[in-house]
Amino acid sequence: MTIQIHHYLILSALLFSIGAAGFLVRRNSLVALMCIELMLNAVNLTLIAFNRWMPANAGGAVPHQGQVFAFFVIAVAAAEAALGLAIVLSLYRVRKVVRTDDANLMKE
Amino acid sequence: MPTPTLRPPSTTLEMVVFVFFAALAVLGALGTVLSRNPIRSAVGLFVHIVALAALYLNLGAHFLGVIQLLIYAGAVVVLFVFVIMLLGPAANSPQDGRGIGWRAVAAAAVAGIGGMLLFTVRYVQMAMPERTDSYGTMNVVGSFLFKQGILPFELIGVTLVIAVVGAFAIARGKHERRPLADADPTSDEKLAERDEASDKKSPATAKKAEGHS
Repeated sequence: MTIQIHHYLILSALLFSIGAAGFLVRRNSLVALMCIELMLNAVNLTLIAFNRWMPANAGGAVPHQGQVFAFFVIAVAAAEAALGLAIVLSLYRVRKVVRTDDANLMKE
Repeated sequence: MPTPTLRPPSTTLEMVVFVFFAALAVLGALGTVLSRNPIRSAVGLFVHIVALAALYLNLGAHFLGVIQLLIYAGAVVVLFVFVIMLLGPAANSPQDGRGIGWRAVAAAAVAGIGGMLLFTVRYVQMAMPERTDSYGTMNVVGSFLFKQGILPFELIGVTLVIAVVGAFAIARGKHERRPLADADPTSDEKLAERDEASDKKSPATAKKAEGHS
């Protein structure tokens, strides 16, 4: 049995769904950030899988756009994690909890 | 010196590796979502990321696999664990899960999006091209990054610098400058305060304790 691209795509859809469900259900902001990482990773898997199945262009060179795109996604995800955790820390400093429901300082 | 040629991996082996690490990735993701304790969630995320790195290697993206291990497992997960340790018991928030209404909405949304995704990608068929020896190596990906992708590369550098400065500005908070004696836990005043068990907070008692001795 040879491996096909839809195996990777189905796995990626499954992982994205798990991450989305966690983001909607959990109220701990740390776990919500981790669920965002899960979703970004699922997208990266799709990009890299499509890059593997991308045919060589006319010059015979294999293109690597998908991998470079995934590289940029990883960089943005790292920046997002750093900023998100900084916000969680400052929320903790004000409210002493990390629940997303308590992040309503702008509402008051 | 002849350049070593890569043997193409057998398709059965590729399938076995895929099934094993796909199962591991799903288990890690479920562990992240379902654990009550955030530190267990972080461990689940770690397992998920390592499994995905193995899948990248299976796809021939060696450079991305290494980057995934270095940046995600080495930096992002460690950052999460660091913040959880810093918060201590407060990282366990009470009333974490949502009520039944929210769960129903989440289930409907996820079933919709996930089902649509699965339905769309189920029948995607593409012929897999032959993998060249240089596919996914640091050399090729790097040269693509520095030739065609140089502008986004520079912009991502600027983004990361802005993110680091912003994270400093947000996490530092505003607190007034305290006198040095207050900050140093080994100062005489602090030690006297600790000896005076009756009232730890008031500096007046610390002064008094100093006066007695």
